[in-house]
Amino acid sequence: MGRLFWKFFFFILLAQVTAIIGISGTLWLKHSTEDKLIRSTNRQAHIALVVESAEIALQQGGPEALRRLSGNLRRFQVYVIDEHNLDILGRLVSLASIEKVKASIEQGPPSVLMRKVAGPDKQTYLIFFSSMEDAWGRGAPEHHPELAPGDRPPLFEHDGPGPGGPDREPPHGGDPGAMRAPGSYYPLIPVLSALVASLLFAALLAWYMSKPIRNLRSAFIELASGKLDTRIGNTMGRRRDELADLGREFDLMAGKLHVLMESQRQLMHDVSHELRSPLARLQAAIGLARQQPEKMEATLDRLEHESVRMDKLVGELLTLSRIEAGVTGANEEISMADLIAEVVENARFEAEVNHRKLEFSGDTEVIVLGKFELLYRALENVVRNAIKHTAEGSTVTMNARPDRENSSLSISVLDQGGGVPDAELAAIFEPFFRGSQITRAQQGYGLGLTIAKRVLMAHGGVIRASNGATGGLCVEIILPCKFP
Amino acid sequence: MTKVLLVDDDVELVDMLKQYLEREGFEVAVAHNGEAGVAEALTGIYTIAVLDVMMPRMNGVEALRRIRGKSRMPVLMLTAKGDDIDRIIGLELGADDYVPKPCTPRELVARIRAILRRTQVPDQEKISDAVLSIGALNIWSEQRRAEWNGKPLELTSTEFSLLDILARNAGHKVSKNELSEQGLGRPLARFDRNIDVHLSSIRQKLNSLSGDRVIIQTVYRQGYMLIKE
Repeated sequence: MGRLFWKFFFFILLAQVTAIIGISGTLWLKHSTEDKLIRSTNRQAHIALVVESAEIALQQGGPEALRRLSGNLRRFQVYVIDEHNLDILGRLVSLASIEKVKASIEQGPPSVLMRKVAGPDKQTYLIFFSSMEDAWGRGAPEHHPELAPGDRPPLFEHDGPGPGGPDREPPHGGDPGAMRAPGSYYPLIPVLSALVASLLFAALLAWYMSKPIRNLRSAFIELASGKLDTRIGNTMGRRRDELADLGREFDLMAGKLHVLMESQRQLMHDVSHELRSPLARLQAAIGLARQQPEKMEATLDRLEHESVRMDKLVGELLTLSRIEAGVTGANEEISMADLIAEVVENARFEAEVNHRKLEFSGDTEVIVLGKFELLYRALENVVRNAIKHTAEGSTVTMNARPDRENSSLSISVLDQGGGVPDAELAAIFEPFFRGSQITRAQQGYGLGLTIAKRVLMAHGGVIRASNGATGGLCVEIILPCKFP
Repeated sequence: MTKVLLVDDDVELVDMLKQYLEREGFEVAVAHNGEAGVAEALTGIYTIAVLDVMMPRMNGVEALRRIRGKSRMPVLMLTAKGDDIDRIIGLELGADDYVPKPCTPRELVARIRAILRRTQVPDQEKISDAVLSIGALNIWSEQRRAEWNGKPLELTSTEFSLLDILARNAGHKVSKNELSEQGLGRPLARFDRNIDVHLSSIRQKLNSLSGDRVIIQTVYRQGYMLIKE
């Protein structure tokens, strides 16, 4: 498990734990507040009921009925005070409390907790709840109700979510039963199981995120170590996301690299081969010079000739490698009329020296975006190749035809030589290809048409070869262009 | 006079080598492609053929295959290919030796002479019919032929030379370097697999007659030994 896994793991876990704590905390607080409200509401109703029953009993049956009522109730919490300030049931009630209740009945707002009632014996009784403190949650001793309703906010308002915050604990203890009410304690088991679940989910998610990255990393390492056939392929499974896309892009990149490296390797191989032939000739010439010093002059000519040929070969190789780097730069607007005129002029001179002719026809008034030097080399290579292979005394026909519809210029170069066997037509553009029908005298280095093809490809063009109807090779070039 | 056939498509190179070899006292004929080379070689007038591997139309390996189909004349492979595979294919097809190209003409001549030394048959009347017998193997060194249980062994001249050396030392190991010096006429070079390829070819031919009995034993990292029965 790498660092990424643990980072994912801890961040996801942190997020989940925070969420759990937040949500469960909120839920718990809401729950406990509601709980308190319900409890106090219940209690309020209960007290009101007791006070009212006491009142009805007194009105209907006088003190006797009240005594019976109190006997039926387990804990009769209502004081009933007669005109002599004595409790009917004979309990001790402090005078101060009675005075306070009387005062609050006269002055304060009407309350369900206390009232004055006229009994059947025409006496006026004072009924009030025995433990006002308890009703407010203070849990005062039953016989010493410290009633101070004037000092306190009314019952309902007090127990609602007050300004002190709903989480304020009841000041001291209160009724212990109230704290044990179901749902009011912190939910430990659900929180723990949620924690475990979030642990699992965090691990799963972290693994899910970091595994493809690990795969990618090992693929990169393999690629860097030279295994160009490394592919992510199926290790991504059936994923459909950015990481799977990344894997696919990696595969594409590796494929392109593979092809590129393979062609470079092939080229290197071919180049070292090609250099060996002139080297073999050089060595043979040197051996000959040692053996036959009298022929030194001829041998030196030969050595010079060979070294010039090697220099040309190296020059063409450099051109080939420049094509890839060169065309990616800024392109210039090339007037094909100028370019073709220059190629034709130079090639015609060479053709005439070798007793061959070059004829050009067609319209070349178009503009091509690219590199003048490279396009010139490409076209020159094709034309010179044709001049080299056309029969002595024959004519190479060159034609240019702009195509407005496709914004392209097509150039064809037809020689009157032996042509190329159909099986070799595509291969003549490969580096160092040697036609089976070609004699050594006609051979260059097998790079001219390769260079032409690479240049045209770099310019978005196409080059292809076919055998003409009358024999001879026809090379056709199609180049995207603009019309002025 | 020794007649040498040079088969290579590099006209200029062949021309220079021809001049060099002629000055060294060889009679030289040239062919510039595989087909012509095979046709020339099979006329039987040449003592040795020098074949280039890389040739258009018919390459050297294919030309060698055709020559070996009809003749056991000594063949020296000359090639610009440095790949071991080409060399080994050439040797397995029965080339007598291999010279990497580029090589100096001097080295080429030395190799040709080495092959000729061990293959040239002395004058007819001097040939003795002295026979060397090791078990079922009979070797007539001077006549350059060998038999297994009366059946003739078809060996190239290099293979015969190597088997001859092993037979004369039957029961003792012969190092690869000794085999190279005595059999190929040159010391063993680094990474030189020539001896191993030749030996494996001899073994195959022997095994086809002897029925997979081990006759030549490899002495690990030291050489080979013909088992004396």
